[in-house]
Amino acid sequence: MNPKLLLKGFKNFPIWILFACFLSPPILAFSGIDKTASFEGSSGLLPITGKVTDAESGEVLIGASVRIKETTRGALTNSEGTYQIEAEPGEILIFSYIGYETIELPVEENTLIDVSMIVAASALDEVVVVGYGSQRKRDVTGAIASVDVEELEQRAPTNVFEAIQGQMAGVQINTGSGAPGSAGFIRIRGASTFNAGTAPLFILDGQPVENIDNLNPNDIESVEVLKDGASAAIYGSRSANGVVIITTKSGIAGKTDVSVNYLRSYSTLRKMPVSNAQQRLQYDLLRGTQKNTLIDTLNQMWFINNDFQDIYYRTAVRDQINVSLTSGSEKTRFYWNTGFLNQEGVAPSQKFQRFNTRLGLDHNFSDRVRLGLKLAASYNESFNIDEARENNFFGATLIKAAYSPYINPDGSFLTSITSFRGRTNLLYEMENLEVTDRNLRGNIFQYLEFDLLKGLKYRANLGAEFNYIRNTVFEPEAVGGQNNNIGASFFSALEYNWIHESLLFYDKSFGDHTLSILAGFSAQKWGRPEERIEGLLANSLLPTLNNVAGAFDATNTFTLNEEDRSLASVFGRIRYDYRNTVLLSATLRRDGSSRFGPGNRWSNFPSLAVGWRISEWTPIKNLSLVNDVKIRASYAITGNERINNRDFDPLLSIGNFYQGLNGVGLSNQLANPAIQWEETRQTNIGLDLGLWDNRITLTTDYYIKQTEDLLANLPLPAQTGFTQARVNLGEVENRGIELALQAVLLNTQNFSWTTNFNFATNTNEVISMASGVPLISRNHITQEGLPLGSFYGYRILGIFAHDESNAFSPDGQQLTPNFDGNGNFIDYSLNGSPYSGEVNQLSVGGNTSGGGDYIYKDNDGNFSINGDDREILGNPYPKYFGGWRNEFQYKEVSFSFLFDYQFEAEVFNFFHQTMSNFTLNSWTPIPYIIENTYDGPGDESALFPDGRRSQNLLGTGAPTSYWVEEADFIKLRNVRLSYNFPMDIIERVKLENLMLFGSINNALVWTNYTGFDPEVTGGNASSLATGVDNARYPRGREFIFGLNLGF
Amino acid sequence: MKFHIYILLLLIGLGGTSCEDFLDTPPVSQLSLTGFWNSESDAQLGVAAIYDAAQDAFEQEYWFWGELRGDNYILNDRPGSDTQDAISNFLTNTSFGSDWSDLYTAIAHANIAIDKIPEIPDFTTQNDLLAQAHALRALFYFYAVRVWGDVPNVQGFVDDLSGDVNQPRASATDIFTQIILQDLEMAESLISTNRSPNTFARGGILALKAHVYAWPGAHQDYTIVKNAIEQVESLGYQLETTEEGWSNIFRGNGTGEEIIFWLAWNFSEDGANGGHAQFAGFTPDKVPAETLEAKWETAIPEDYRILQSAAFDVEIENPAEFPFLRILSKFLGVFTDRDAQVNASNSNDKDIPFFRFSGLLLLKAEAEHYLNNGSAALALVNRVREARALPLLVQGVDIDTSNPVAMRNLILDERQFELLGEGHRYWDLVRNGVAVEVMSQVTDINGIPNGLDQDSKILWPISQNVLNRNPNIEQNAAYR
Repeated sequence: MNPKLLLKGFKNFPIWILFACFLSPPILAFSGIDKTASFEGSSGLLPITGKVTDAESGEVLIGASVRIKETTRGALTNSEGTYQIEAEPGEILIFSYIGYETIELPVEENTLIDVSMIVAASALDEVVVVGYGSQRKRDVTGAIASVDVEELEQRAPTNVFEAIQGQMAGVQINTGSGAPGSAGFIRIRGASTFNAGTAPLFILDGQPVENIDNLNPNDIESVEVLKDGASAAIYGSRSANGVVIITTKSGIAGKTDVSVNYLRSYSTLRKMPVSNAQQRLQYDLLRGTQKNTLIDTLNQMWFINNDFQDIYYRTAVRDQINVSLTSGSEKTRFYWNTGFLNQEGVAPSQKFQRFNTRLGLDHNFSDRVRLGLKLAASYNESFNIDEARENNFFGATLIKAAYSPYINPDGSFLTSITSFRGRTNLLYEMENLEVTDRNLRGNIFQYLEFDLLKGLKYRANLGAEFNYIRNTVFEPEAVGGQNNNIGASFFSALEYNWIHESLLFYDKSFGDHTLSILAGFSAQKWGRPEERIEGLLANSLLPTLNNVAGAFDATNTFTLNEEDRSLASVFGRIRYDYRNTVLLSATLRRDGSSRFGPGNRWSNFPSLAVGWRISEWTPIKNLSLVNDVKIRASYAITGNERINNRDFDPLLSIGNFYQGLNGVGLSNQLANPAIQWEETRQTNIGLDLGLWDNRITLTTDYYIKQTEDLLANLPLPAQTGFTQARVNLGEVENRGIELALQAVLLNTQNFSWTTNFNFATNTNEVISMASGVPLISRNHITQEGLPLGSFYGYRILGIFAHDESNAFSPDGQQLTPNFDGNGNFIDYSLNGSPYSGEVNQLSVGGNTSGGGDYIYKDNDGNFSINGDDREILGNPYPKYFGGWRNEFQYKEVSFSFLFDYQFEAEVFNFFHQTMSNFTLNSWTPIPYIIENTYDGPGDESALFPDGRRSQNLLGTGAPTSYWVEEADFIKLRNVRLSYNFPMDIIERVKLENLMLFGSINNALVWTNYTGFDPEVTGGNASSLATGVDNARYPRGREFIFGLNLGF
Repeated sequence: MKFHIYILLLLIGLGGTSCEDFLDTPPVSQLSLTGFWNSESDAQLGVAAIYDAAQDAFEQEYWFWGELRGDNYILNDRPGSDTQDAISNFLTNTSFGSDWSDLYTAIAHANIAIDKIPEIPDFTTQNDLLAQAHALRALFYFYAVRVWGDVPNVQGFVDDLSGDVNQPRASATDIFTQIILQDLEMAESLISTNRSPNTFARGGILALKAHVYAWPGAHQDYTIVKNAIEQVESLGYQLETTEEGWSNIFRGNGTGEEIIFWLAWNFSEDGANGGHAQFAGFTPDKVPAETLEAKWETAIPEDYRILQSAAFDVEIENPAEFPFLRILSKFLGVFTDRDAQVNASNSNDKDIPFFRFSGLLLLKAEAEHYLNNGSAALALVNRVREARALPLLVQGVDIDTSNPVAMRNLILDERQFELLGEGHRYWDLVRNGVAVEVMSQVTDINGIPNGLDQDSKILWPISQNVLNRNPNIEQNAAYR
């Protein structure tokens, strides 16, 4: 049977069946409670004690469970590995511990029962966290990448994005700009949506959260990324971009462990080439608008050579400290961590501070009831530079004329107003402008778990998340707005959401068959009230008071907005396992979202995955080399609903003031009541291979992801009065191969070498678009048959050396002008022979090009260059990317390094293109541009046009081939050397461990890109318009020194 | 155990509520179209939104379209590319002013008002508001056809994606006959208010009508122009007769008896993007042309308007650094030294000066001239001159009224002097058919001739942004 048909059938699955499922657990739970079981002891019992140890090493096992069969009585081993329990003779004790074979022993006369436990064969495999539960890695039938705590620590990260970058095949991470506290983004298996957001769904300890920017990486135990549709489909809606599951550390029973980590780092920026005063004066002359410039030493500016990179940038320091405590008994365990981060930016006065605390508490209320709590809070405050101002800070330092003064004779900074030629003085602004962002976030999550019957478990989750945001901008009088006013603005928002989930688990083994069933129900609601107040405090007598209350009229810029949304879901999963050989998993989720209009709200998201462990098949089983081979296949439909809350509703805009009336106008978006879910159909085929006792493991996957009913912003013709509508438009496909190789290459007593290599390919193609009309934005085009968001602009073939060089034969071949000895034009030749035919001239926007103008490629052959001559110039999405991590351990010393790379991607160097246009007086181009600018008739080697003829530039409206550059790179992302003090020294100072490390982030980059960094920041908002380099805050090289202490 | 029971009850409670109810999230702080356009206040707020959209459409563009392309200004030494494109008349499909999006947004606001106001149960100001919506739409389309020529004919309100949204351009003649002239007729018949400086009243509607009928095309009719302006005269507008009174029209922001229709710009409501700011600042990128100064001082040396309009000869500290510190001072105040630019802070509180009474009288002079009533035309010129306390022109001595070229140039010059900075000069040149003739005399400081060298370039190019979004729109011929 065609699997697609089968799944279509699934889509019509009656919802009431699942409703019945979610209503039943409470009822079952209620009836299943044995009110006395957990509290009453039976009389006449024998007190039994004993010690539980590992059979091989003899080490005690802390927290092992001791249970009496067919009762609810039980105990856990304490920190010495001993337990105490009361039992009647004849009853059977069950000893169990994660990763060990379970042991059953009958109680006889002996009241001292010591047990040594054997590591279970399956424990050779790691356990991975999957949606609503965990699974042995060897049983996984989907594509799941996982990074554990050791790999996470590699880079001494400040956030999760840095921690996992380059470590997972097919998971592309951009750590955002170099600004302290800036958020990164994750793209899993390419971009499969137009405008609905490409970010994955984040699940933090089982709770879907809005973002993980503020998470302290020290809290993380593991990060799992569910890449294929079938793994993610249990999260149905919102899972089309993949799911990132983050598990934080939890308490371990035993004695109290205290661990203290401290690190300090120093970051610096690489210097970029900039023009000096002489070159800038040359530019003034080339630009032609400045007639009085003296290009020699008589000009006083000749000698003023300020190096603004030296003046403005500083070495930024980061301090990060964490203290964590973990402890617990058989019944209650906790993990508590508190951390503080103080990170400076390389821009002066810029700083990010974060305070985090997290508490995890698990309690075994009785043998059948467990409950727990995760509480996390963080507060961060950042003092920023206003990147929106003066283009942006970093760009501005690179384009400022070297002769611009910045300091007064008395040492104070020149202000923005009287600075040179109207340019603001950044240092002055930095010193006086206050841009403060503050966030207070909290997460509350609690669970309650009942064992209802044997194998049947009910779990209730209740979570809440809030984020209070408060941003202020204050421009004191001296900085001034456009008119030297004092300006202040305040923005605050409270984002909150709560979630409730009811889950029912059933596990059953019979003979060779293992069955595991999950049914669940979830409801989540979000709200976000926000308000913004802006005011100008003209002529205020308190020019430095940051208080908008003094604004002469603040009412006009007081805005308030509140929106909410909700999501309801029912879901289920069946997993079946036959002798560890045949693995089967099927899920179905039905989601309803308030973001769609009535009638379009609900959709079903099914999945099916199968795995076959070939290694259980006798011919392979007998190969000594191979110890595990598994092939996997899965198919799933997942969804995306990340659009605005009310795209279906014809909203009006308010605040359109005229003459005191609060005009009510049209919003710029046309409502679309027919808007519905975006669906991604993903097929995944994978192979897992374990060789030489799993010393080498290889995981490889092939996937095809087809996204239909793409949620897109359709730009509307201006004459409609709207700029866009949200529509379901077309289909896009991503396909690729992923490969992850993990090998322990050497493992001797003193030396080990582990290597981790990952590689991924992704190609992306727009299969169809409803209207067939391409979406063209300023720099990008999205069109059937092409990848998403390709760069679209003009190809430049060169510069006309003479006015007469603008001459073409009717078939478009450029003619060569011939001149006599006096430079007078004589005639044309073509390919060396005289030409006497028709001569055509290129014109740009109606103006005939001449010497010093760009030779644009005339794609339609009409000798007129306009929008029709644009072509595809590249694509921002890399075709190949991955990482390579190596770790060497020699006795107490460990050394590791991490490379990552991307190939076959392009970036649009908008920053350099803008400066090469010569139209902006305030921009000083880089020396390369000035040196290669056309300097008069006959300049055959010029690369850039005559600065005086800027009217023929099309580059201000679209990219040109000059500046769409290769974005390939290999980065030595991190090198790290650490030293663990040997036990004898540590014990002498009464510590458990002591480790010192030194590390370098962004150590080296190999790239041909002329801008600062080919890994362009930003651009998670729309997958149709990424890869434009605006010279935003670049990432520096960071030298880190740290210390980890345990006692 | 009680705790568990509570939780279970809570779960059952949650499970029991209907999912559809849970997913119904009505807008909290937003307004939906369903439920608006039901009352008089809705209509007032809806019409206010048209004016607000007009502010967006005209805030800078008013001068880019109507003035900068003419010969009133030259580029300062370091202009922005927007200004450079317009003043040099080397326009491209990315030039500022080539995008009609804001203007069509304003048209859409007028369209919905024209659709909805008649459906509201009768109320007192219904006709007045409907008249304003019609007049505004006529104004928007009048600009659209003058800037781009043929433009899409959109009169209905687009409320879904089902119709053809990618309409091509309709001929300018059709826009005049099917929209502009009819809207004017509707507005004139519905309006009851006679004068109101910042909203369309009878005066403003008639002023717009006069400009529309004076514009070349099949509909051009100078008799209608003359009649319309005569009706305006009967509404009681007065010319200012003193230097102080005249300069206060501009610096007092919309006070006085001369204002017929100025689109209000109020800093506290509309923010700091007022169009006058482009003429202010320490080094504005465009300054009044030396050629204008020379012409004016030769024609009327004793004219106080020269200093009040354009500070040509300001003493400045460092002429090498600021070689062109001449500033359009008409609205901002006369600049006496470099610190005077602080005065420019009120540049954000200045209206967009569409129609003024003196301008209308001079337009009537133009109509009389083309109706071959030379002496009537001269009388109107002298009426304005008299009010400005300037020497009157004597027929046969100062001017030969039977010489059409001399008369035309006289009226054009009078309008240029009186209306400098008020967004009319380029339209005057085009309306009188002399745009290429005049602009081809202009060169920039590098000696490069002005780009307006053929009639086909009188229209603007259509922005690439517009072309990208509608494949059925064709670029204007000169810019293909």
